[in-house]
Amino acid sequence: MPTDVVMPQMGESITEGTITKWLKQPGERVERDEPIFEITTDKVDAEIPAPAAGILSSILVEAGKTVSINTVVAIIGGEVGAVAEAPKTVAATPAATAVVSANTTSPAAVKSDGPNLSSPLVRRIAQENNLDLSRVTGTGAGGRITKDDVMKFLGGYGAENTTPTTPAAVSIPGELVPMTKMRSIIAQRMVESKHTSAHVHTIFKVDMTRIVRMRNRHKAEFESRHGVKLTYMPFITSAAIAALRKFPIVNANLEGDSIRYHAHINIGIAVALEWGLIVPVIKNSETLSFPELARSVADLAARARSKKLMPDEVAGGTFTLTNSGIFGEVIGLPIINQPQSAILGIGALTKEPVVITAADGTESIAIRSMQHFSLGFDHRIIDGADAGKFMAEFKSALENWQHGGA
Amino acid sequence: MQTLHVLQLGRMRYAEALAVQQRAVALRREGSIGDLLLFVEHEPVITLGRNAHRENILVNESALAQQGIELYETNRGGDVTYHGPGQLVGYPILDLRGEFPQKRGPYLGPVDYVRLLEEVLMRSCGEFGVTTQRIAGCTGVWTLAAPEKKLAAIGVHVTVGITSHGFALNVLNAANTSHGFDCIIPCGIATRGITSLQSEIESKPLCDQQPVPTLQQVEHSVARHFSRVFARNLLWTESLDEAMTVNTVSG
Repeated sequence: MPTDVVMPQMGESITEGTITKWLKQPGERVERDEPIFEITTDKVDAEIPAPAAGILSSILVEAGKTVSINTVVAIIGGEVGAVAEAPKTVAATPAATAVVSANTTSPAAVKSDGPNLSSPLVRRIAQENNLDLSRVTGTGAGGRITKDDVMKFLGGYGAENTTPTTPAAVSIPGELVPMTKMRSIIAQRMVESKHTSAHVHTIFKVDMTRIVRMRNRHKAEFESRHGVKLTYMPFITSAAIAALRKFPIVNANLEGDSIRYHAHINIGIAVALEWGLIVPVIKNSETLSFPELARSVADLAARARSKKLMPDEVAGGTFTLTNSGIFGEVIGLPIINQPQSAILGIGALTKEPVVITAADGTESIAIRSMQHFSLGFDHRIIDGADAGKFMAEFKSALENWQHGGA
Repeated sequence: MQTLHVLQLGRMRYAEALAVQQRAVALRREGSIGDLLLFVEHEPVITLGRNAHRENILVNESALAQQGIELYETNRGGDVTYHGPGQLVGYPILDLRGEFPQKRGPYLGPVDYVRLLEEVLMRSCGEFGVTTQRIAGCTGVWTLAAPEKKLAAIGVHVTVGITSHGFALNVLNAANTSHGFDCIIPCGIATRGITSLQSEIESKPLCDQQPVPTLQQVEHSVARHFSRVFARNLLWTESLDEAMTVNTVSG
């Protein structure tokens, strides 16, 4: 049973070693633990003992060569000189040739008469490139074909290459579809925004139980009275408007060296379309009553989907809401809609066990409707403290919903 | 914890110390003694490592002989170096397959071993108020301020898991001011100089100066830090033969 002799690991960070001298020659008998070669690296000179007793059948890496650790440098116990004549011996040690092939080149090129000797790696490269190995002259020990030989033959050889090179410019099946106008505008504006604003995101978790109960109690009545379905969006929009009123910096934007504080709160609401995304804007939203807000939200969304928005209805926003929770996403980290300074991401509404502390201090676990909200803000003008205060106000508005609106 | 015999050879010619070292390696290999740390102060000698380049010796052999400097080719790693009075030379004879806290496989990697030798020497230098560093690619112990100067050189040999050769720490000025280092390019590094603990200590402001240690004190310090870094119980011994009897008794 042939035994591989490998380049040992000299230290944790050491990946290669240089063989300085072979102390035994092929055909010589070696005892287990008898030094058979010397290596050197980093002021260490080491004699490497044989891993097994037997005849040193072949030396695969010559003195003076540097090879990576675990490279097979010699074989003990194979048949002496059998490598060239008996392919069987080689087949028994495929691992040896596979590792070594990348590193060995014996100057004497031997043209083997029998079938060319090669490693699985070499055969794989040959197969991948439809190469008949019999056309390649082996320069490795015993005339075996090394990776170097194959790579040279294929013409794509780089000296440092240790991995098989993949054929360049492979075309993957598929079709090339030009982007729509909307798609290319979105692509351009998203990248622009990332390059413009210093994006920071903060995430808050809001107890929506009160809102859920109120909506369930009033939705039938609301729809019959106002002719529009009562969704969660007007609640969220209303709470955002209340918070924006309190923290005008979140409703501002950077203009040159100045900050422009907007007189009105124009809320953009991102609407997902089959063919893209559009953000209609509710102008002067701070002046609207709750039912008016609900109607605006529903109206804009419907007209966005039926492509009936006027151009000025998608312009002039000062703050944006984006509902990414409709597909069950916990929360997203949205990109700011330029030139605005903040965007509120809406996560999915889910029921969760929550620890409730009663007025008298007793604690209990209750099933509550919870929802995550994320604020993406431009750190150039909004600091974390402002964003935190804004979100705390927003959260408080939802958790302590007071409007009689619904 | 394994035992580390420490044997002080005192001032000794290189050839004589080499014979002791070779005997120690043979004894360690057959298990007659435990791990061993030899300390010696050499008579002036220039040694060439396995990778030595003759051109790094700047004078011819007759000139060396005139100055009383011997020349030896050795099987340690590294280039050319000088040993002489005022320099503490240590030859650890360890079996790298033994127990080491840093061992990550069947044996302690020889290069890892060299890094640990640096650790030992750096701790010792620190004890005497001299802060040192490693420099990537330049094995040894170096001073901090640029241009970094070498305080200790390292070159080891490993055969069948047993280490030999080791380190040379310049303690007294006699070591680095000796003509010996002028005759060579130490370790083949021409761009950086050589220094000693004494000159590093004396180059500090007077108020910061610790006393310059004796060779003996540094020996004790290195042995102590060696035992900590390599997790060995120190056992001072008078001779290899005594180490053998101790090993028999404890074994």
